[in-house]
Amino acid sequence: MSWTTLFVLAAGCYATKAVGYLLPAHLLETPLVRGVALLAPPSMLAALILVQTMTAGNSFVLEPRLAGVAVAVVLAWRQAPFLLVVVAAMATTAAITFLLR
Amino acid sequence: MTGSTAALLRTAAVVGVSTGLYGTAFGALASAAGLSVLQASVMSLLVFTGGSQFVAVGVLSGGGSPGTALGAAWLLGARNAFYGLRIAPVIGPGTAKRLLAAQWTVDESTAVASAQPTRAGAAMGFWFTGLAVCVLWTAGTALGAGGAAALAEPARFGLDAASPAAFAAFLAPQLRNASVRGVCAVSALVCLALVPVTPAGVPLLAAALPPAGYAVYLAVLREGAGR
Repeated sequence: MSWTTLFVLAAGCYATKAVGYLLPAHLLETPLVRGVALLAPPSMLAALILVQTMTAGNSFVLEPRLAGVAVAVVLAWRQAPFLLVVVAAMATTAAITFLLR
Repeated sequence: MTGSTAALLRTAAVVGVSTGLYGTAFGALASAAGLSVLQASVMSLLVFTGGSQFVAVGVLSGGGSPGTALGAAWLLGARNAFYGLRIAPVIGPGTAKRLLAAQWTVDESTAVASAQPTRAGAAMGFWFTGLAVCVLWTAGTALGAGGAAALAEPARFGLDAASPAAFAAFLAPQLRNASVRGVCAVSALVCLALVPVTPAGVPLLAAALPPAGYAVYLAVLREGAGR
């Protein structure tokens, strides 16, 4: 990757992040925008979890991390501490990867 | 993930460390794709939105053009615009503060801020997490790119599960609310349905449509009740 591509990528990503800050405050106080702002982050997070866990490009994949993330979901739902959730997911994934080779 | 300054600092540190672990996986991938240690680290510091970085490097190493890599990475990063909407009122006025806050508006900082019951707590959670993630994500990337050979297979250490597991921990408390749960389920289905047929990034953007639709529905209901 060239430095130019890298800096253009950084500038574009910053511009996207800045959009939410540039909209005027009174617009943010309408119930509609507030509703979207509150509901969009969890929805996109849910989608992101599935995309990272189950897909590669345009295809669905079955990898050891699916089991690790499943463990994480159960622990998270049962209100386990954050670090335990992450470490248990990594340990499960590493163990299954080891057993499958 | 709520409570005092000390508890918030602890949360930020733990989130930072797990993001750092995930950062080593990114560093290893970037190095394998031909980026230097410096390039990979500068990318993590300046681009600073993990999903987009993975996509950009993945497209390029798969033989895609820089244009395709940029397009996919920007699309994937577009969700940060929604996070900015959520965080802007928490941060309050002040240009310099908002310029920095924009750069640190990512999944992790937004998730920790969103989990706090008060506005002051949300602001503190945002800043602590933004700083911890910025430092440790960049440091993790440098380590991973430097030691790429040892980390050639992130799955061997379960590194590829670290990020989705962390996101699951952020998401779980928000799913206690039935309407949030319903909207999230619809979003997840829409996203997965689009994966096979749209370019990377589009499925995640489409996940913002169900919450937008639901917010419109609620706004219309409220207007009807007000008359």
